[in-house]
Amino acid sequence: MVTHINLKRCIGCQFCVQVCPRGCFEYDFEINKVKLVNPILCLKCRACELNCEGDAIRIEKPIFQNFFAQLI
Amino acid sequence: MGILETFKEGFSIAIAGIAFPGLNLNVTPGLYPIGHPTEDSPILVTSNYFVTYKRVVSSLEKQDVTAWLLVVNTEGVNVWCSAAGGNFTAEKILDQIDDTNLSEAVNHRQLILPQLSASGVNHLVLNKAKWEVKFGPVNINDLGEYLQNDLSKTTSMSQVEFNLRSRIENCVSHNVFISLILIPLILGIQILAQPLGFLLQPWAQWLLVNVIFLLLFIWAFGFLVGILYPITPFNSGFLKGVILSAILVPLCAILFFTSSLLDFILAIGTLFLYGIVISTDFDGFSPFWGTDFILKDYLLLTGAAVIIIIILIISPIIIGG
Repeated sequence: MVTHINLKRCIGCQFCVQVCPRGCFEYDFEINKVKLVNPILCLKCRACELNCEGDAIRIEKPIFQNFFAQLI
Repeated sequence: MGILETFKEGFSIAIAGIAFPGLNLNVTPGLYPIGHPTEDSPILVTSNYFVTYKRVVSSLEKQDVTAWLLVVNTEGVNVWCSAAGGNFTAEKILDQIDDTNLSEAVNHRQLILPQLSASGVNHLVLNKAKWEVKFGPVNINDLGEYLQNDLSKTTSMSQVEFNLRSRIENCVSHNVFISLILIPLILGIQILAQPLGFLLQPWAQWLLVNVIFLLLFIWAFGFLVGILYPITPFNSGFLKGVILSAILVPLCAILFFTSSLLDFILAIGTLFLYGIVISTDFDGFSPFWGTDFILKDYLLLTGAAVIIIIILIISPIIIGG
């Protein structure tokens, strides 16, 4: 699964930064929006997606995915 | 917590949760005072799993925190698992708030939730009911500092870790669980060995003769998996298990199982099988991996286990033992 942020919808509430247990997000003070800095660490707990105030985060399953992506 | 206490805790969790699942592991949901809270005191929210409740209360008392503790009915499941499983939700919190008349006990509308509840609790639902939500630190031991810092978290407070102490505690409860699996495996093989004697008899006999060795292996290997977890190559528990087994299993077989070629092969196969099962299953204790990661790892384990079991069954025929 892959995490996407739609920056047009991000309102900078920073709830994703607050709830992510793996430090995947960082707040960019220049644009007042959130950046995905460590996507490989994401464990798909969906806490960010559920609590995003702008409904800007989507965790989606791609059609093709490398089976060993996280395993090695 | 000392090392002995860590062992005791891991053991009691395993015994209570696995050996006696009928035991009541829930704490009665409700509003509990920590210290002597007033109407200004913060409201903390947690699950009603008995271990969570026990640890939260003892940690808060140690940190000298005065607060209201709202224990939500998560069906006796811990915070993170109940949130992921849909048992720790905003609606459940609202139900508990109503049941306990929380609004009358305090003069504010702010809830401090455990951060790991965020995968189940949508704060927008609580906002609609006029409750402000703060997701606190991952670890309850950081709560005192979090309160002192005006409810702001450092980076380390918001990230999960898998330190040596928690790995050892998990090893103890996991080893108890894996040791218990040994019994149905041995019994199952004995029962199947009756009609399929010519195929399974040698392995069934080997398991019975070496049951004590297997138990010792399970405990030693289980601890090694947990202790070496951060330094063993690969993320996958299955691949970690393959590496550790490839080193340790031949060593055990050369040292203890050289009476015949069949004895040697049965030892290699059985110990390797246990090695990869222990290591793959330990994935579940790590806070670093989600369900799709674990499913992939179990898929690899299943494939490897089938191959090993076939080898264990056909090797007596090939060797003629």
